[in-house]
Amino acid sequence: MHAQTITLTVNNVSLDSVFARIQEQSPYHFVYTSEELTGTRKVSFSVQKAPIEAVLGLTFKNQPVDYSTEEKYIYVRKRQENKVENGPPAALIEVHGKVVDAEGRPVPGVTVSVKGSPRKAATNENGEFDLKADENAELIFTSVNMETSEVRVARRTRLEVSLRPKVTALGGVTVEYSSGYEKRRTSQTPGSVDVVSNAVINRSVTTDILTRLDGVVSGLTFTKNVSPTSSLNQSTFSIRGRSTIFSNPNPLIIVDNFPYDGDINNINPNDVETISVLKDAVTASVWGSFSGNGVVVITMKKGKNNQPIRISVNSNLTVGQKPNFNYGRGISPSSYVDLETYFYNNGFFTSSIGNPSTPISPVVDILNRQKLGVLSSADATAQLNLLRSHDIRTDLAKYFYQPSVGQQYALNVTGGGADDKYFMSAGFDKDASNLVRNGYNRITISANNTYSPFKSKLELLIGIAFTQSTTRNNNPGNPGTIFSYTSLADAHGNALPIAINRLSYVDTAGQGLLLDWHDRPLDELRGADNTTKLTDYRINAGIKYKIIAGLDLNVLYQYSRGNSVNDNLHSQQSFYTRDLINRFTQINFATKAVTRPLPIGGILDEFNSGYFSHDGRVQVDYRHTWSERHELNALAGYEIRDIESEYRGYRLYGYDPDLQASGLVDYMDLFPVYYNTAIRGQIPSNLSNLKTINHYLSYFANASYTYDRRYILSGSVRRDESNIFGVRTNQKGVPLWSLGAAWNVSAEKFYHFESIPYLKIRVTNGYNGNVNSSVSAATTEFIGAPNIYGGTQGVISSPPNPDLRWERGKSPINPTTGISSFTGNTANMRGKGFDVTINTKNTVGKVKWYTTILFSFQKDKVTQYKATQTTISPYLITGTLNPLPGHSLYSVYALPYGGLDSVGDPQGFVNGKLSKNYSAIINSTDFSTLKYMGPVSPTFFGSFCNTVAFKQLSLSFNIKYAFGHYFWRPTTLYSSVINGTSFGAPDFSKRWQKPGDEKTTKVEAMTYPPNSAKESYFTSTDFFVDRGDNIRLQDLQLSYDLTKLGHSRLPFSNIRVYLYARNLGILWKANHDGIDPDFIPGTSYPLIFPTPRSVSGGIKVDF
Amino acid sequence: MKIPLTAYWVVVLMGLGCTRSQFLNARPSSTLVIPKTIPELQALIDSYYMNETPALSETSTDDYIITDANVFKSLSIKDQNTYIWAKDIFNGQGNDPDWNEMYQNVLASNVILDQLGVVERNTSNASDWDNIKGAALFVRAYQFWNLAQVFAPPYDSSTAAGDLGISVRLTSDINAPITRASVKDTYSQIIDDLEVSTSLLPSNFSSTFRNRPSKPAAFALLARVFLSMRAYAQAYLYADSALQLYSTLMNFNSNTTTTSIPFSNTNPEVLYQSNIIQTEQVLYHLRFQLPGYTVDTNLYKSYSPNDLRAYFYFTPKPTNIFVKSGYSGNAYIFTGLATDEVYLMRSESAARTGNTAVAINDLNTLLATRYKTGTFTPYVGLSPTDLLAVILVERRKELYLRGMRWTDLRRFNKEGAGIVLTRSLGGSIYTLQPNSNFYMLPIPPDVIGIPQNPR
Repeated sequence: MHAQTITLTVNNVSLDSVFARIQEQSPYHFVYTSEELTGTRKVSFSVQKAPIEAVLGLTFKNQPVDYSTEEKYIYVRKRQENKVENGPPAALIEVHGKVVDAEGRPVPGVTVSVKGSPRKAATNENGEFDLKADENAELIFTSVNMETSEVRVARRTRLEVSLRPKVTALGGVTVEYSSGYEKRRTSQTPGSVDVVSNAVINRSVTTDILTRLDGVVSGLTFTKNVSPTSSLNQSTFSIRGRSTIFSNPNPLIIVDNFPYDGDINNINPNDVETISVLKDAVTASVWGSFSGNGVVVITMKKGKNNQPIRISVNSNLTVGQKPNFNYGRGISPSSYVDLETYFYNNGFFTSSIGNPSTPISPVVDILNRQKLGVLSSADATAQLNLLRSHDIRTDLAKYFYQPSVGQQYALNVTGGGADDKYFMSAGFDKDASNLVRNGYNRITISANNTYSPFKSKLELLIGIAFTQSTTRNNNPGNPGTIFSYTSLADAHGNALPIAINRLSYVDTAGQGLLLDWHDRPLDELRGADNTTKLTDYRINAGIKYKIIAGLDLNVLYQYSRGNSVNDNLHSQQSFYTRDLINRFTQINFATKAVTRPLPIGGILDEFNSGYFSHDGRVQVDYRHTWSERHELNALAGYEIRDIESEYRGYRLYGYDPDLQASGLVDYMDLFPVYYNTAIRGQIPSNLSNLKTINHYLSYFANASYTYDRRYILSGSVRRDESNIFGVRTNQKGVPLWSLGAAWNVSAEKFYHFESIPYLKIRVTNGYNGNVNSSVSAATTEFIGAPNIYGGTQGVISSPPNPDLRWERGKSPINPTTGISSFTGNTANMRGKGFDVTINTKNTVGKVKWYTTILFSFQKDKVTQYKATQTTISPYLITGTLNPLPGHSLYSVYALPYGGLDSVGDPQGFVNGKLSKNYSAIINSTDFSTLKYMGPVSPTFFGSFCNTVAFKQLSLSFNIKYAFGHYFWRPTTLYSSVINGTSFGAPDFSKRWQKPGDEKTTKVEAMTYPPNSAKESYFTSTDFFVDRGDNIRLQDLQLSYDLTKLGHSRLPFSNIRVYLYARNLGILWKANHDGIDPDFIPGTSYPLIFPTPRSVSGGIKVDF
Repeated sequence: MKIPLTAYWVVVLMGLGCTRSQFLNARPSSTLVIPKTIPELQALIDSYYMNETPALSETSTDDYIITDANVFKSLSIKDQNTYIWAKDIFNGQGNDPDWNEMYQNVLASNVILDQLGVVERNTSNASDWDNIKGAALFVRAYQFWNLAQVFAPPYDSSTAAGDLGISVRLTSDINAPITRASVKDTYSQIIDDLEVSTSLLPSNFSSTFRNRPSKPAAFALLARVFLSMRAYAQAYLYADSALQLYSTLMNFNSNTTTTSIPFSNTNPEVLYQSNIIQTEQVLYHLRFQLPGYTVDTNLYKSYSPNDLRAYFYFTPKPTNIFVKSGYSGNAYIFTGLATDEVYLMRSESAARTGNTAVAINDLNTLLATRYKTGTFTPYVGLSPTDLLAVILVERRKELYLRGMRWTDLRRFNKEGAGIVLTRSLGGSIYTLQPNSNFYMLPIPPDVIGIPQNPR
């Protein structure tokens, strides 16, 4: 036996708990059934560095059971009389066994062979096997992912064997995955699937579940630079790159059995057991047309049979830094003053100054008053210098941002008897965001119970999950379009007005008869009252009936309902309300009569959205293993889904929150606008309503056949039908299929590569669709609000095109047809890539060091696109989707840069010669002038996670890397900077200023007037394209476990104290401009910062 | 597979109480319909897009003057180029509303006409059915005509068969080939559509829904089309037909001159509401009275002090003369059909066809409502030449900033008026010569596959 020592103190502890503690400190594994432990007594002892034999001696002392060791297995069996060794040949007995993993879950697909005999069997889905064996035979359990073990039958007809996974590092092989339809072993599919274990899920600390997948699954990309308002149709996370151009780009998220229709933030990560990521057609295609972007299956925690009640409490506190306000700075306030002065001197503001109600910036106001002689030159300079000295970021950091604080409390109760199991949980999360006055509270409650009467022939499942959350969204993170030198507060913290309206105008307008017309962003923040309350629940019911051995009938049903109410109260004191009231006020200065079409009082905007969904499924599962070599798994079924949503918005004017009173207004008439009576407008009603219905019917079947554990053939067919608009019922469906084959090379006898113990070669093919039921195949009309005459307005939203069915793409079209973009089958895309996951155990001994390396390569290519533009200019514009065949869907195209000329103008190339004909350059029809820089998404990426464990202490850190992508570095666009819509970029200070500068800088001179063609060219040059390659320290976790075994007086069985730090920062980046490629600085609001570092401390107690 | 099949029907029929076909035919969004009923088709007519007309034909005219070079520089490239009649207008920028929105409206009209093929016309819906068909034909013709004013050369009966007109799309099938019809065919289609529409549209126009076409509006539009073709005899007849049905004029004396918006959206002269695309930048500046713009002072001075139009149309300031906007009450530039224009059309075409009595009578009728009560002296005994000259001056003064100037300039120059437009800006002088190719604007660059206009 191994010279391992054990330090253990137990006090009146059951045998199985002692076994668990010994297992933790030794390489040994106990093999026993709970039946064998019946009648055993609890034990108490304390040992220090004792040999294992001594500890086992103490454990089994005076017990009705005995043990024997075989290699690293300790077999427990009832004490009985010694048999005569040389008796008659033992008879064959029928052995029924079950193989489970360390967490008690069944392990299917384990080969069970009888030593010295050709008899063999394999475990089924439930980890069970039946085998005839000599009553003293030794059974050998082999599996691809589990350590091999040998167990003596010892005349037992019922066996339960627990196997350990081969590698137990972070991200280790957890081989059972769920597809939402069935649980399978990864070894049984030719497809690609990753399973995120509970240990990995719990390694990180976040309120939501999806974030916890970042950097732990190969092939899964999280894109941080996605703007929710962008038209690029990007998903924040994607599996294996991109498979669609214009349809829904998001992976399908399944919770347990059905697609999740609620807000994914409603899922408490503490209730999640495992997450399976189905990455390719073979594994995902079981979800048919919903699965084009891959599928994420979240398996929620369930109870376990024959387990006493276990209570687990987890609590943690996360503190995040304030964002780094030095990141992504624009032009300095002082430079900004210079820039405005330059534009002022060129007469740029003449028009706005001339119109008394047009806002002008403080600098322009000072310069103008100086020019009018109201302000002396010295005073003007002094006032300008005051502006130069102040940066609005200082105020934002002080008044708009704060360190974030998140608290999380979770309680889990689990257990089960012989024919029932249960799980209950409650969770409370309270997050205060980085933005002052913003936050999120969430309460989650869930319970599920499985009852399996009639010897488990029938299984009844019922579950409920409830979430209630409140989101406070009082702080938009920015005060709107204002200037970088603006002060938001005075020295005492009192809010200051900003020049969103002309200050000199609002100071005097209305001669005191109007409401105060100043906008003080800080008061707006302090007075905002914008909350969203969400309630969501899900009820599950299921019946599983074992018709005959191997054939199960499953009937599942789920009902979900959610409602969210957003109340945004603009109080009477808010600028929003005062501005709107003033805007429509009419004053007769002679009589001092004030007419207000809007009542005095607050404005309440309420937006309600609600949904309900029914999901139903009838499914037949069939499993059969014969001749010990053939294994068949099949399922077929029907599914029906009905998701209906309603949205309603309305507004109350003159709202008094105390009296719940509001006033009546006239929405139909046109009223003159106070500051420009040439304009008349209607009072905005903010009325909206919309109802959507999504119906789906699906028919599916899939099967896989495995021969001798070496060859796997798998296939699936599915037809999805939906209430897609405007096609005949018989065309509402799409048939989809997939086929896959795999060869488990490492299972071959000739295979002897120790360094690659597991090798599987697979080929898969399939046809996946994508659902986009928002567009129609028939002529459709969008019905909108009434026109000013009261007639309902309709516009053509989709032209007649009966060919259109399920697969679609969108493309520009000749606008003479009456539509400027068209949805049809216009494009082909091809993606390729591979994922590698390597788990290594680097040391043997007291200090354990595990490494998990994830490596993914992925590249998508648009192979055909019917709507290529005629000139190169559309490809230079970021923010529009213009695929070019031969390149990645999201690509960076640039123009070669010829540097500056002697007056500081950028020079491009026309016919290979330096040119300043910018219009010709950017509108060239010669696509060879367009320089393909590379894709926007990384082509090589992954992570490198190390875990070092010493006794109960464990430290792990995850390093993420991404290579092969490109991004645009922001620069200064004078035309938008001068309108106050952009901060510009720090390269302003490097601009060409005097002849000769062109030798040292490439940044164009500031010229007047801004030349849009020149700006378009300059900002499209390869000078501004940076490589996105980077390596970052994603997170770090430190944990310490204290078990009852070591400290028997503890009132709990295990306690874990952990520290977790996230977003620790970038370790290396290819660009030299201080830009984190995941957070490309914007030149306008909202400010973009790298996610601030956060540190969590927590404690998890298991009773 | 028997068990799941049964269970499936149980789930579908019992659980949701409907058949598979009903289940799959549920409307996915409450805002989406397949336009199949008269009200659904009417909604297309009621879209405000349908009442918008191109901006380029107004921004190219001498209706406004930019006085400040800085203001000019702050305008969009398209507005700048249009103002100085540059060779290229779009600078590579496609997605131009002047083209796209008009054809979007043509598509909507074609959808209506195609969908009417599946809506049965019966005794109970006959008038609505006719009305919607007439409206669709009217709108299509109106948009074709507006497009032809911008992108096709002025109508000249001697060259019309060979001149390139616009793309005359008569089907909602987006796969139909895109071609340019000749100017002759373009105008023939417009006239055919309008003539059919006059037999379908109601004789009374709705004063509530002034955005909807009516028979008098269709006659008025036919008059406008024939006038733009210099076919004065037909123009006379159609103007007359329109006035037979509706001839109300508003007496300017009944409104006060000091209000900033003197007209209301129930202006009784309006036969059919339309305005220039609301988003147009330079016109937005103009109608919001932003500084840097003025009305030609000579034009302003040409109004007599007793002429109320001077007060209804303009706000004079010491340096600039601003426009007051909204002949139909809203702030947008009105380009629709109104009785004042019909009187002027009948007057002019009568004068040009030798019917001096009608010409002078219409002129006097109109002007009597425009002058301060008791100050207007009716014209009498003018020579035909002098009468026409007076009518044209009054046309300019009455229809100021009504979207008609561009078409008139094209027509007058064809008549030999020899009007040279001149812009002066920052020391540079720009001119637009009579009958120049620059009187048709280039087709936007994203409209590919059809011949471009010569410039």
